[in-house]
Amino acid sequence: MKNSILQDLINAMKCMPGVGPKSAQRIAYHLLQRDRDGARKMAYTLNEAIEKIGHCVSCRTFSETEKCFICLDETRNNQQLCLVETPANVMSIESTGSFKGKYFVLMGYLSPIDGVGPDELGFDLLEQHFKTQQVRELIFAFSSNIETEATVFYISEMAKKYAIKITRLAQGVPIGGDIEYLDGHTLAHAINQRSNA
Amino acid sequence: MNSSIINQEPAFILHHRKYRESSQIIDIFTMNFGRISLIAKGSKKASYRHFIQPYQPLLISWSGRGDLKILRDIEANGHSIPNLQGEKLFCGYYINELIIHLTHQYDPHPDIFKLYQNTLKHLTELDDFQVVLRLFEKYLLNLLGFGLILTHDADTGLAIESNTYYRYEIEHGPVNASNDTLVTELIKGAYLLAFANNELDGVECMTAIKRLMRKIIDYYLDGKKLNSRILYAQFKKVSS
Ligand SMILES: [Zn+2]
Repeated sequence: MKNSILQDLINAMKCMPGVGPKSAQRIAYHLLQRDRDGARKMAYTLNEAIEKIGHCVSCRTFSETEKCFICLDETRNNQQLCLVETPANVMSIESTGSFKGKYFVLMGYLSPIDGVGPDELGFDLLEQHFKTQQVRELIFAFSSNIETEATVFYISEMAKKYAIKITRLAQGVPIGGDIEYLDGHTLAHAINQRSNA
Repeated sequence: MNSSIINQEPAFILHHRKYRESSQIIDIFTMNFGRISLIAKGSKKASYRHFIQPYQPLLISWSGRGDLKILRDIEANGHSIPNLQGEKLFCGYYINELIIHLTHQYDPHPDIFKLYQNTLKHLTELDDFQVVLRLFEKYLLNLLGFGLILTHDADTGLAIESNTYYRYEIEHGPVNASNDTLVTELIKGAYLLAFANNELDGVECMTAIKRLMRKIIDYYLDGKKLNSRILYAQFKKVSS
């Protein structure tokens, strides 16, 4: 190997999603050639993030503090708990400004073949919320497919003995969506779940 | 160069995982090529994306040889199978795990493919999924060449008697256990015969056959753990 630090840098870049060997090399050269300040800042920030960002002890989303700002917000409704797969899903729902309850982030869904089970998804912690908090409604905000169904079923059964109402996101015609291009499943669901006009 | 293209092969998706930013690696079980893995490039935006889900009969086309096979298209293969629901979702994981652990990649098994397809249908149609799973296990072992002996004593060749107890020796068969001092893990002849006739009636019979099959399946898994089984046990604990 001719230049090992340079090679290490290129290899390190490859860990980013969507970055292959070519892009990794391009980014590394760009940073060294044109933007050493930016690179320094990135290195520092990355380090800070790795050191200081953990998971909220209450909802499992990414957080720098023991509890995240949403869990600490006392104006939010403790009775509604929205279940999502990822922290990115929390941000998506937050950006709509239409939900004022709290979240629980599973960081995935049940997938036995990948070794992802209840322990990996924090079901214990979730059940603690059922026991100790005043959750009245559990909202499943999952991608709609057969693979998240076992997760929905498992948690629903778990919530039964706490008499919690269970809801899931409505499915139907997207705003601006053309009925002609909707798949059959979605269209059938939209017809069955139609609302008053 | 000979780059082979396979068109519209009957298949089921067993599992898929993210690969790079917008692609996926898809493990499929095909009728004529056994279990193989495909790379689905840009699958997040592909027209076939809503077909990427397990338990549905599909026609899958791909190209390439060796380990780097590229997915070209997925279409529906006839009528869809109704979605598994409730505890049957765990059965789906279970039969997929058995297929993954007990068949080898690239080993064609058209007969096991048929069995898999029928089992999925039976799971959605029949209430008692335990029976469906036991029969799946029995036929799967048969087709893998590990068929069980259920109608005669493996030592003496004599017909199994309903009221006699047997000890099932793996890779051998049931052996008369009348003279055994240990009485654990014995199975009543009547249950072996019932299983031979696909007639699993009654809790005691079901429990006995389940225990027998678990022992035999575990033997062929050779130390591999079934995560679906662990998941189901955890589920039973919290749902009761
Ligand atoms: Zn939180």
